[in-house]
Amino acid sequence: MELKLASKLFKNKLAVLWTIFAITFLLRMYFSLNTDFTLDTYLTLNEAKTIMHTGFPLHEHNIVFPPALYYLMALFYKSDFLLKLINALLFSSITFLAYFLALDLSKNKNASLFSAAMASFLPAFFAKTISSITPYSLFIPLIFLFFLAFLKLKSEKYTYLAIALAFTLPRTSLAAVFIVPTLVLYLILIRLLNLHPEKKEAEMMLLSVFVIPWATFIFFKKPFEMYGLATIFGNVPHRIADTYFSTITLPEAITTLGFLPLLFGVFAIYSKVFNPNEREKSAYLLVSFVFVLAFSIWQKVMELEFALMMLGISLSILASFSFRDFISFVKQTKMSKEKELIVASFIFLLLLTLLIPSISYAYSQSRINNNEELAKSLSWLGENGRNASVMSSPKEGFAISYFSGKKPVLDNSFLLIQNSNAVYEDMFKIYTTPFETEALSLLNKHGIEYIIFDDAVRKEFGISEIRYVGDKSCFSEAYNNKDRLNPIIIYDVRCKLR
Amino acid sequence: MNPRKKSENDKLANRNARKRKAFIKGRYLIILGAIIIAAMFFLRTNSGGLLFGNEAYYHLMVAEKIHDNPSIIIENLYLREYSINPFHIILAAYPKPVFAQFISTIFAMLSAVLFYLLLKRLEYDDPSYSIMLLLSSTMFVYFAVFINADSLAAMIMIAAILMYLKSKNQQNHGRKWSFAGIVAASLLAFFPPFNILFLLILFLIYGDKKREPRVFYSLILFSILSSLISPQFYAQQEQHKIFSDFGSFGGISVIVLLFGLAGIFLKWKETKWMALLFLAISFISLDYSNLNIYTNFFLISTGGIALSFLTRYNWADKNIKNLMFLVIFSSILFSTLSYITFSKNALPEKDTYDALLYLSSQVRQDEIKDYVLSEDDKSMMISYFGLAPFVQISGDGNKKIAEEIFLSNNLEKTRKLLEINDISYIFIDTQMHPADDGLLYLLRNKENFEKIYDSNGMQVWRYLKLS
Repeated sequence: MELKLASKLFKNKLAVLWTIFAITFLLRMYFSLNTDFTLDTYLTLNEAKTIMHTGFPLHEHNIVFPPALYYLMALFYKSDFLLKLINALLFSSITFLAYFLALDLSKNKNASLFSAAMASFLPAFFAKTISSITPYSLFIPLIFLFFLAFLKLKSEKYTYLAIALAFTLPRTSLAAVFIVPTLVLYLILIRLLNLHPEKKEAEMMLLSVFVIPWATFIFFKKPFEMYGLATIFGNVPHRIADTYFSTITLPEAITTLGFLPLLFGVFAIYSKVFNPNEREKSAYLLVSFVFVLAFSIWQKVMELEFALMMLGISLSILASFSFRDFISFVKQTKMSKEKELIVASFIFLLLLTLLIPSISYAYSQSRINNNEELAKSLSWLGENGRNASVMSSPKEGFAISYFSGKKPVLDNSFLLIQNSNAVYEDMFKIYTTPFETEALSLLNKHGIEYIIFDDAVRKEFGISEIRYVGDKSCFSEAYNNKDRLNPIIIYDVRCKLR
Repeated sequence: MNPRKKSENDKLANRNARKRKAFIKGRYLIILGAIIIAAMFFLRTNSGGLLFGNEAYYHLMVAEKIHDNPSIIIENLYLREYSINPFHIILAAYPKPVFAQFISTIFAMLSAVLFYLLLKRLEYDDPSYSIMLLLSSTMFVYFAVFINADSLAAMIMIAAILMYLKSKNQQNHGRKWSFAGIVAASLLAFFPPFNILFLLILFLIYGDKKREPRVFYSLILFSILSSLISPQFYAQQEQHKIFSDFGSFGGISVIVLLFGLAGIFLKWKETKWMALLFLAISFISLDYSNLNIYTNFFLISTGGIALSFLTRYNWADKNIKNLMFLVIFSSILFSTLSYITFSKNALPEKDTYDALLYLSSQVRQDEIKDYVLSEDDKSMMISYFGLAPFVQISGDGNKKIAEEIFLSNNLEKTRKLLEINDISYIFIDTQMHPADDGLLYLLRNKENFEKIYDSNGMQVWRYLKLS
């Protein structure tokens, strides 16, 4: 009886789609309202605040980020609730984008609904984006919207949309440049399979191949002059770049991508690329994007977390081919009578491998994102500290600027920082050396007057204490909350080496 | 009239009309080039009126020496393996900055005109697009405003190819053109050997040895002989970035590369051998940036084909077409404006000039003949002021010692290196400040270093020797 009801409900596809969207949105809102912002979000907040007051983005700390999201968030920056609401709406829009992209590819509504559900509940995508308002909040939905518009270029309104997005995307993230190799690879793939691009498609490709790199280049002119093509690696210090991969294991990567999207997505790629009877031109755009993402992960060009999110969404969309084929295969067998049961088992699998891990992952993330103590200590520093450089983990750099107004030695924006690697190595030495003179020499060199010692520092530099701070005449504890859950000590550096 | 013949006549008439139009456009573009150069000189005059680039001072100093004593051309000058260069001989006639600037500009303009004539000779439908790309490239600016011998070499190279092509087509004056071509090609022997090597490969690929065997073999002979003149040259080349958009003057711009590749793709049959040749060159160019000049000319010529194709292409969507051209022309404009601003502020600036003027007077006053430590891009200018730069050329062994001094945080080690190498003055410019590491950090030590000049970020420090 229940199965029949579910089947009936499933017939109204739009209602199901809205239901998936509503669940995603409400869950996102629930978790985001019960957790603090991630540390990277403080850059967005700082930028939004500055835009609201001056009309222009912040140019302190050598930060260069495309400003589209900051301008959007500037409209709502006064209310945390509104910021979280907009963020949840942006990420939840993936439900619709995945559905319409999958529908355009597979032409099958049921399969597209599964794709939409999978893309919405990818564990890493769901949990990591709940309270993180970064340029990716805008970039991820827009890049999939661009792909959708590109596949529907026959319609005039989608042509306008694709053109507008080709100009907008470089203003959201440097990652927009990955569209160029995606389009080139798409062209190569379809030509290899003796397919031809539509005239309008070729023209749009041409426009994108010129506009996106050029717009990106104009924005990142200074870093490009300094580092050349290496700019796309972000000038990340070697030690940090090395941790991009060491922090994730294969089972974790599979959990991050989701077992179902990985299985069905990879099978769809295999059948589209290697099976000559299954040439569906539109599929190759996302197939190319998957290849480009895989290559950029291999070459450490993109942040792993972010690349895996987009890979997961792309695989979920491509999985619609596998679902469609699976459904039509079932129809041809004796199991066709048990269609409801099969659909129900798919839903069960979806709940088991995606929704439940997503919720549990989101719950654990919400516990990690507890910045109350950090905010308190940094606000104290802002009110009582001298105007000097503050050293902590680069992850906390944006929070230092936001709460204390002081200059961090390094934050997560490494572009335009000359010798970022050397600066990070000096920080590493300062935290790990047992010798006071070596530490003082480096502290003086960078003009550091406050050292923060907290969990993030312990974890990043692998230390349980700073060994030379026993000399109270040089290192006094300006702030200490040892009794709290997340102990934070701020040391005041009082000595200068002559 | 036979309809087929009539249609052929119409096609010919259309083509001729197109060529006439292109010729008019080409002339306007040359005028535009002249305006761009004039604008740059005007802006430069307003910001101090100094020559562009450190190398300018090397060429001037060499020309001055040849002017004073012509026999000096067999000696090594400023630690460089010197072989006679026609540019220095011309400059020696009047070795003054104004004349040096004037002839560089003239050579650049002539290169552009000859390049236009060459493309016309090669039957390009509309060479004006290539000329537009040429004028918007930093290479052209490098030719025109930076005093250099490369523009003369490129001009002679283009002239040699043009004369060779003319000799093939003109029955009566063929021999005259052949002779002129050989003379031009032989002049290339006095420039760095890659010029003549390039010409040699070009003739090996395209030379018509059946029709003009004597010209062909004479050119090959001249090429081989001249390529043997100065093999030392390669060992002395500086490493540069390839792309002008990433800050390399005379490099290839990204827009030229994109259009150039598109042009090769469109005319693959005609351009494949050249493309392969330039692919090989580009591997070498990673180290020897001067080879970029010919890669640049080739990509500019094929880029013109792509631009011309885009204008004639029957677009399905007019919006995309309009935006595409808006992007293309704004990117060319942006590139032109950015390098005009960049070269206006190119080293040496007025502040550098003033700081060095002060230092030279100070050195005369101190009567110390020791070395001045600076980054190598200012060495020639330091020499021009009668001072002794510690690092003279990039291949110089002193560059490694200088790097060691600049990077060391160890005061004892730095002092030892400064003492052993007789360095008494340290010249710091604005570009060196942000790092505040190594020597810049050690300069805070007042017992060992004394700041004798500080203006607009330019600093001169005197090292206080122990002895």
